[in-house]
Amino acid sequence: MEMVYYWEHECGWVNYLDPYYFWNFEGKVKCAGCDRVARFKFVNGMLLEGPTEVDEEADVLPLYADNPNRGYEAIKVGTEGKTRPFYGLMRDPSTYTGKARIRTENFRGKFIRATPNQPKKAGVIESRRFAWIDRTKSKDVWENDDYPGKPVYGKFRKEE
Amino acid sequence: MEKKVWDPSPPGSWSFDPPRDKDPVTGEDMEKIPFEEYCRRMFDPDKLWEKPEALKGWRHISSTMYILSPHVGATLGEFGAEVIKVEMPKLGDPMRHTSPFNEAYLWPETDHRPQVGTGMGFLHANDNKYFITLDYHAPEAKELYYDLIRISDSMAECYRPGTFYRWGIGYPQLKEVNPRLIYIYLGGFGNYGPRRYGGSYDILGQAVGGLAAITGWHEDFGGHPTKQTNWLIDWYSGLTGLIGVLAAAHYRRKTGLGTFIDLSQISCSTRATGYAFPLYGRFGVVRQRWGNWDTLLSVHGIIMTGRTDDPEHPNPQISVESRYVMVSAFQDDDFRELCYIIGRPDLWEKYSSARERVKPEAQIEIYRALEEWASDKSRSEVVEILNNAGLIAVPVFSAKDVYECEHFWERGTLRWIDDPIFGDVLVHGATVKMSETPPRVKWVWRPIGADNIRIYHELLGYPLPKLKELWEKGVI
Amino acid sequence: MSDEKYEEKYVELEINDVKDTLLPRPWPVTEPRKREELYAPWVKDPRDPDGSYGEFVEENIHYKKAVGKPWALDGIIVLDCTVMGMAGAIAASYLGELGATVIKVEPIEGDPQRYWYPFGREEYAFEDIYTGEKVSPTFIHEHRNEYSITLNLETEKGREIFKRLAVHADIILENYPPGTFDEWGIGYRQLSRINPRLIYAWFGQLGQWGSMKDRTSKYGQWMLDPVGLSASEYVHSTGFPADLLPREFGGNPTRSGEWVGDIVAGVWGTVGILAALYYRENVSGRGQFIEATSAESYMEILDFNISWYAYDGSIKARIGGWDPNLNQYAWNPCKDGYMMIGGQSDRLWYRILQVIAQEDPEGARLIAEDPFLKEMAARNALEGLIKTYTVTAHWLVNNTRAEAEAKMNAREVAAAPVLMIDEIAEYEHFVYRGHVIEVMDEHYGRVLVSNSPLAHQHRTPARIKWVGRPLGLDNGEIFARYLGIGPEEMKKLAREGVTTWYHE
Repeated sequence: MEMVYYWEHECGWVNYLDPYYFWNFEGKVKCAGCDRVARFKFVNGMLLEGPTEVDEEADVLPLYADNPNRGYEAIKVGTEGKTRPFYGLMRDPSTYTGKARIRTENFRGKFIRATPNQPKKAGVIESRRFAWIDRTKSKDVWENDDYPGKPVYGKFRKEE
Repeated sequence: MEKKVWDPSPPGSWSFDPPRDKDPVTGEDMEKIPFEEYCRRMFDPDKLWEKPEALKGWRHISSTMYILSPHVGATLGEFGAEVIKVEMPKLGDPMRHTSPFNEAYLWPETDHRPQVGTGMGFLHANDNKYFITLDYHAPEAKELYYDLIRISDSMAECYRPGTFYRWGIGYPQLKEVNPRLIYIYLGGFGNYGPRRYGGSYDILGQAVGGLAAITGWHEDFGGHPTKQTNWLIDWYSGLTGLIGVLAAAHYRRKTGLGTFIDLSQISCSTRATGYAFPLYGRFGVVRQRWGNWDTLLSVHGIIMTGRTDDPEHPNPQISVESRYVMVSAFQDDDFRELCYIIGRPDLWEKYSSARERVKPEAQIEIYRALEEWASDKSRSEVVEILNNAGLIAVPVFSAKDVYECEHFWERGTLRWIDDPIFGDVLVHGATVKMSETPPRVKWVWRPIGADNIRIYHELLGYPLPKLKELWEKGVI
Repeated sequence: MSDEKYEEKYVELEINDVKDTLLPRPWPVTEPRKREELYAPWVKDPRDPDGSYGEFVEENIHYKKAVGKPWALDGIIVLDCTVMGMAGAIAASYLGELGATVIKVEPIEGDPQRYWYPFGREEYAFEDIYTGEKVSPTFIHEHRNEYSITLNLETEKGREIFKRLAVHADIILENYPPGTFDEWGIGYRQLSRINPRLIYAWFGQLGQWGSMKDRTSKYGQWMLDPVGLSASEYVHSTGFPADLLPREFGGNPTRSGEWVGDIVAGVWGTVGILAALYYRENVSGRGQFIEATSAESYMEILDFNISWYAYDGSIKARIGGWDPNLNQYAWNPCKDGYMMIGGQSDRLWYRILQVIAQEDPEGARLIAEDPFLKEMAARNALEGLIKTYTVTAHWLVNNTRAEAEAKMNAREVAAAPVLMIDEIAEYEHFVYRGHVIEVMDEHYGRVLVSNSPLAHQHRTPARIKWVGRPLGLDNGEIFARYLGIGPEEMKKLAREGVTTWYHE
């Protein structure tokens, strides 16, 4: 199979050439890991002319790259000089981490609950109905490493 | 002596009695005030909570997941029904842990993401509901479910066909328990047919149903079919299912009998393809994608202008992307005006009839000319120029523009809700305007099993020791 | 009846010119399998071990068993005064398919939708068998089970007649620019005096009131569909981002191919109308004023987009065929089209990897070993999406849609191809269930239309009786039945320009 949507370069870095952009593409792409440029020709997804090393400026950068040999260390989207920026993000790209954000204030500054229920002395409105959540799912229960019902990814879940 | 006639309800005195003669507050004649003012008073969003609810007394059981089927329940809840959502114990609805780009979450949580919360994907499909848990696999579950069904008007489910029947709670069994029940099954491929066991998602409905075949840029221009925002088919099919439920309620009034509705969301996607099927059936022509332009009218499409209004903003959506305008000038006079504005009177000479304008070659030429003209202007400039000339042009709004637009706040489409659990949340649901019984969003959502006590103990009347026993066995 | 005109020949078509596409052809090209063949596996299928559920469903819910069943909205009279926009047509079609009597009140020249042909090609017209009157496929598809009368509402006499008609109506639908009917004396406040049980629904793009309400252009052009969609953030969040696809190739915000805003507004409006009907029948005995706009109906459907902005200021961006909320949940290009693979949960994610690993172990290894992708929610991060779909597309390039589908379905992963219109019409499941059906219409012959989604019900299924309607066909009947106006008076009215009368 000669298609190289993920382009494994000799340097060990795998560059991901996203399918929509490169579906019908003819030009030069730079490896994000080692900065060497290669020429590709894709027509309708099929690779017609394989990665041929050239010594010119690249037309386009890949969107993402990572290295299996180094524990999948990644070059993220938008790194200067190595990967393309992605403007299709929903706010300032530098604030984008890919991790969940927990906020306690919404956009106009009012209170929004994104952390577990607070005890009564915190002065925030509580309701009798949800007291059982406190007993079973309060912060000190969750903060342990092993809590009842914790799923194990990638394997069959233990039945309890 | 004057005889006083006691009038218990002088006209216009009830808050929801539409003031036909005189407005009770100002005393004006309702027939004489300008139409816009009349509408404003009839649909006043501030008076929302003074008006009654349309589906008073209705109870709906929602044994649903994801978006398609819970949406039926949420909308019924918006219209005033009492909706009880049944989830699996501990796991809950898998939709709870979806959030765009893994970003925004509100508490409380699921077992999958304990410290993180319930994702924004759960919003709007699950408002106004009571959340209980029930494990259908347990042998006691059947009786519990029958007790719930006996006191409900309708029920929705989305599991594979035959699953509920095997568990003893399928339509043939439930119609004996409660002959008035309206049972709606919402799924991708429906309840019968060669592919009935295929699981289905919204995006599958778009792909297989036909919307993907007609949305996106044309293949000749290098385009690909694009998915409609978020989950169009899920939402819109849920509404179609609701039409079936309400119509069945009307029928039930005469005969007292409920019914079974089998709704396939792919069918809804196919229904929305417009003239594609008559064209194929009669002439064998397969309709293709046509990007941002229209196949029936010209000029009636979206163009790109040169710059955005705020190129320095850190958010790329504002600095780079907010530069599209929808221009609509398909009648002859409007098109002529448009041609003169962009400085191309030759286009008007060439394409003075609507039939000529709508042909593909003509559209390509006209839109290219439009975009050329707009390529050095910003979005608001283009909109201003065209609106001042009396033509119709509307900018393509992003979420920020919608949030800042007065129009939607005035009309009550966007509302801040002070939710009892979550605090200040913006909702934009329940958007059809009704003058007497408007729909409304009461609360946003609740944790898994939050209303177990309320429903099982306070509604059904189970004693608390029984609930404890069921909890221990893992049934709820 | 009309067999001489539309012959049942299957012609081998070689299409070199538009004219070649104008020959009629039979449908479907391949017949679906018989029911016995399809359900033989019922008995062996573990999900329905004794086949009793399947039998029950086939006997009662199959759309072909719907002939002769009662109608849900029997006796409800709907006056559909909408022209041009599709919202009212959609609402009227749902109500009509469920059994209501829908009367379309058209201006003298008819609804302009009758004359809007795709790309202006009049060759695609459907002709009335009796009179040869041409109508466009759009009109045929959206207007079902509707009677058509012509009434000129711009004349005084026309409005008087309309008021007399409104006495009988339960529901009125209209989409004229705000205030038009009110000016003419037939708006809600005037009609509710005559008929307090009236449910009056207005459809539009932005609203009847507010700072950005619907308006007409200087020359009287109305606001039609994508206006509402543009104003409701739908267009902004649909399409390919310019980073995934260059703008010249389509990396722009894209509108939907069909007027989805109107369709959704029509459906939302119908929901409101039926809720008002329920309230009227069971509680108050009074009707209401309902307003359903495209922009706002669509806003409900945008689920969290604007709430997300209010949460932390993030503006929802478009992402093409991918989905930022779930992984895997996208379509990607493959050998002969596009393939959609959906596997939201953890278990299905690993199943998809197993399928890919059979042909591309390298790629599967790249995904399976990456510690970042082990956590389920992290797969929704942008890097997770790019990596997953790149490897998936790499696998897909070598598989046609049918092959990919078979391999994925063998592992119970929901995967489906993106089908073109002709493939949908021939797809066995849809032909069996009648998603696309052929209606033998009295006036237009054999017409292929997409069936109502509510056609599969136990007691009162929705059915299409006829499609389209020649202009003004039911003038005589409706005027006589509801207004007591006979032919002589109609001829007089026709001369005054209030209505039309064919037989002099």
